[in-house]
Amino acid sequence: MNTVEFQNVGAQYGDKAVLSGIELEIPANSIYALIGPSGCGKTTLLRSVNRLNDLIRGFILTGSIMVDGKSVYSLKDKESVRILRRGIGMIFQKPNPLPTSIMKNMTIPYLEHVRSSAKEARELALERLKLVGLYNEIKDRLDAPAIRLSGGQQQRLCIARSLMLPSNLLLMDEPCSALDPISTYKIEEILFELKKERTIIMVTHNIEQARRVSDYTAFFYNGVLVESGATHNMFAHPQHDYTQKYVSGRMIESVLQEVHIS
Amino acid sequence: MKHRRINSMLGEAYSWIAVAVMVAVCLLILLTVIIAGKDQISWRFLTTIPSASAADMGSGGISTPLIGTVLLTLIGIIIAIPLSLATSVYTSFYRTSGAAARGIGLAIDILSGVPTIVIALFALAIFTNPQLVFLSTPVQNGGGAIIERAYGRSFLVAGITMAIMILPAVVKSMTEALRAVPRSYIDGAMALGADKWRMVTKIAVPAASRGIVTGIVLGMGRIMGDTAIVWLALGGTLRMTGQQPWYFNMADTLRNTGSTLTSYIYYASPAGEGQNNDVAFAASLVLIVIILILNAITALLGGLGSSRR
Repeated sequence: MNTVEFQNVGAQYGDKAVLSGIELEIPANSIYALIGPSGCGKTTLLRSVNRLNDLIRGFILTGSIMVDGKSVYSLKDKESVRILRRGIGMIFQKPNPLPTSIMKNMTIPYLEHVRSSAKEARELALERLKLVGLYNEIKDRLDAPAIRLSGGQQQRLCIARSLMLPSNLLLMDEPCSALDPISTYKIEEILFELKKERTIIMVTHNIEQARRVSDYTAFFYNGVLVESGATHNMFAHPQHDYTQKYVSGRMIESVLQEVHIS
Repeated sequence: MKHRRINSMLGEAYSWIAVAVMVAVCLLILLTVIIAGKDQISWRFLTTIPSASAADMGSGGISTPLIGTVLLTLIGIIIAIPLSLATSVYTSFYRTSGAAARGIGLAIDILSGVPTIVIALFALAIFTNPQLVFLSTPVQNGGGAIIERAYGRSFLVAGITMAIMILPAVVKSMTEALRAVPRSYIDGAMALGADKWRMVTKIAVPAASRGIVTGIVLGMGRIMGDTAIVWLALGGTLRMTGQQPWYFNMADTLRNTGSTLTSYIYYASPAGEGQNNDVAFAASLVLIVIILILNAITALLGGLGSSRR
């Protein structure tokens, strides 16, 4: 069970509302793509799942987000929030390796939170690096600065790092938008592998990527969930006019400005 | 159109002249110091203690003022580093906006506007209190039994005062470095479930280390160059006045008076007791070289840091 449920979720930064009335259920062991034009609120929704938006002053969330049936926003003390975050991996748009060696990138979070031996941490790190297909490429320079890796390798390192903690839910915020097609392909391959034991929610601007890798897709527009469902179904038979335009690439920004969903 | 072109040419010429004047003055200062001071520089000059009074022939060497500058800089920076790092961490990550943050910023701005002579005067008022006698030496009344007040001038007193003096500049440059830490590092650490303190100590401070070191070196340079605090809080002696030999009695030396290169320059110059312009210039040359070396080390560290990225 690694389900996520959004129940009547609304969100605002100060006075500016960015999401309203979101109802969505993320089934376990699936890849769920969140798509929609820039500024539609999908990233805000993603960052609410592990309460990363708490860091932003003036952020308010209404409704509730349930992870495995437990309400995320009911957690009151900071330590419970940190425990929640440790159980949820997060991959960002820009790869964010720490300014240290490849191996330390892997072991620091593990040693911090799991408090086990350095040897155990190293073994797990090697296993995770193999899982993301990075091990063979970097096995000779595990102690080299992570920043020297290519963008795609850095992103795979970040994915491997997020797997160092026992996280069964992965949040990905446009994980491939800064990468070349070959790196993107490698990451998509990893996603299929990870899906076997984990649930993945992925924000993407790449409609083709959503079509290729996701089981389900949700289309957001102007802070509202327009349509959601099985990916093949949605791309083949979009119910809504906007969805149809967006997934076929015929919705251009100038038109978007004029459209309003009531 | 012609009119506009002339304006543009005048503007460029004016900028060029301003730059030329600045560079010329800089070179002139350096050249004067080098030409006037170079003949005095010798191993003997660097390793001999000063005369008891600068009025004496030649003012003597600069061994203890040189050590004095190093001692004072170390004491000052060792006190200033934890204070300013904690302050900048607090204002960068814990209290980034609101009334309290504005209050802290205002206090730092005001402190940076207080002339060092005023800070020195304040230090004297504080450190002459008899309770603080452990930082300097006691001033006893006729019988010698009762400590009436502390002398209030010593390396420790001057070092603490220097630390206060450089706080605003060091805090500002450290804060700048910490605020420049990429948002993605902070988000990443928080998403991995780190608490804020771990994020600060393991991620933000190491990532900002270059800027933090720059701030430290900036502060060290300020201490080396200051005269007013030395003059009031370190005392008006050229030699180390603690129990001799001073280098075997450091605990006592630190509680007693001494001199630095800046105060030596002052005393040796016609404005002080001496008439030894050439000696003052020689000491100036040594001071400038030390500060240049310090800056070069930072530039080198910065260069190495950037090539690793």
